Amino acid sequence: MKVLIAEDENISRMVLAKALANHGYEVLQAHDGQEAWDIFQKEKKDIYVAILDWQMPEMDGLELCQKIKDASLSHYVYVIFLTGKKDIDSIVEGLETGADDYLPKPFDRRELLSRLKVGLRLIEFEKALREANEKLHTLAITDGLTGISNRRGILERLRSEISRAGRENSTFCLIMLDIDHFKKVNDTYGHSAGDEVLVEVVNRIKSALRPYDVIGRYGGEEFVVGISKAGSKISRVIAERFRTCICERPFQIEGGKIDVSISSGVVDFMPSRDNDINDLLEAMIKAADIALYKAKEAGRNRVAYISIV
Amino acid sequence: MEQEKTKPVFDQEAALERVGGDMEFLKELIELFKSDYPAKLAQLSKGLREKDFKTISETGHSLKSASGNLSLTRVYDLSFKIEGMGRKGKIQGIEKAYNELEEELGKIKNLF
Repeated sequence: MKVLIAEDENISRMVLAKALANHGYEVLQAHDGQEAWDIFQKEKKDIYVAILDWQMPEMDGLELCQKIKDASLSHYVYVIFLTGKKDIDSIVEGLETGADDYLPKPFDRRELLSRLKVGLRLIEFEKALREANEKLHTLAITDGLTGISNRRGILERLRSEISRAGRENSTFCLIMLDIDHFKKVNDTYGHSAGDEVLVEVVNRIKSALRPYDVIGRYGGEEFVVGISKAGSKISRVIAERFRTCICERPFQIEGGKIDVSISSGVVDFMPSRDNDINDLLEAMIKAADIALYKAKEAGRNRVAYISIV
Repeated sequence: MEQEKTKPVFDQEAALERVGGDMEFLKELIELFKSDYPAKLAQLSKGLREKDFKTISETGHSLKSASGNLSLTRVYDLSFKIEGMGRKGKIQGIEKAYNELEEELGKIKNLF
């Protein structure tokens, strides 16, 4: 964790730097606002606190503070500015600009250090909050049982894959697959056996996937897979590979071995930049669903392809 | 101005506290100040001659920062005044304060 200080007056800067260094802070020193901004851009991932003089040549503390606060970083930067004792106008202006605190000049060493600790507390809170939010977001888009994306998560990823295919002018393929007679598994062996089957289906399909393909649980026993850069031929081969890896050997579950099979609907499309991502995704899912229905109608444990125009 | 004269030129105790009791460091800073201030004074004088209030307030500001950190009490008070008057563009008051500042800065030479 580094502290950036920007102060054009030498003695103030040295006193400040020394006080911080004596207390274990790693200090980056700038002689004016522009230099501070240059240093900040280079070292921003390690800078958590910035102590800025308000009046500086080249770029003043106000502008510098704005720039630091506008830089979108993955952590909070606590900004303290240094100002003349009774300069209420600049105190108000500084705090309104987004600075977190101010110190009157000449600053008191003990006050500086304890205000810095306040900043560190805020940085810790912010970090904990950010991590909790990330965890919540992951939970919100993950299927608890199988660990793959849930419906919301896979739709999010499919949208970004489709828009990438649009930019790269490549074909995007969607496979909708459904476990055959899954209700029977649940009814015969119980729900925990059903869960075991779901997990094993996902494991088998994942091992047949390329690392950059995406998979998600779309509904109860329905899954969707997004395959990039695959035309109709390859996508059907891949869907066939999925089908085989499920039915080629029985599933070992608590209470015995059972045969499982899946049916798949395959659709592919070459999106362009003009396509509306949401409309296209909806159309592809609808088409894959129709194909899946055809596969079921034709006797299950098979792949059906459909083309959309 | 009588009020300032009662204050010490240099409040060593306060200055030491500002640098965490590090006497060597304080001496180093005072030496730096001694070598820096003649240029600042010259800048002020030039600002006065040319009625350049921006230079006057900026130089006053800089002297104020430095002297404040070193607890050079009288220099601090005078440069504080000069900075403020520079901002307001009051030339007469500045000249008087400048003369006093020059005198006070002269006393700094003998520190340590």
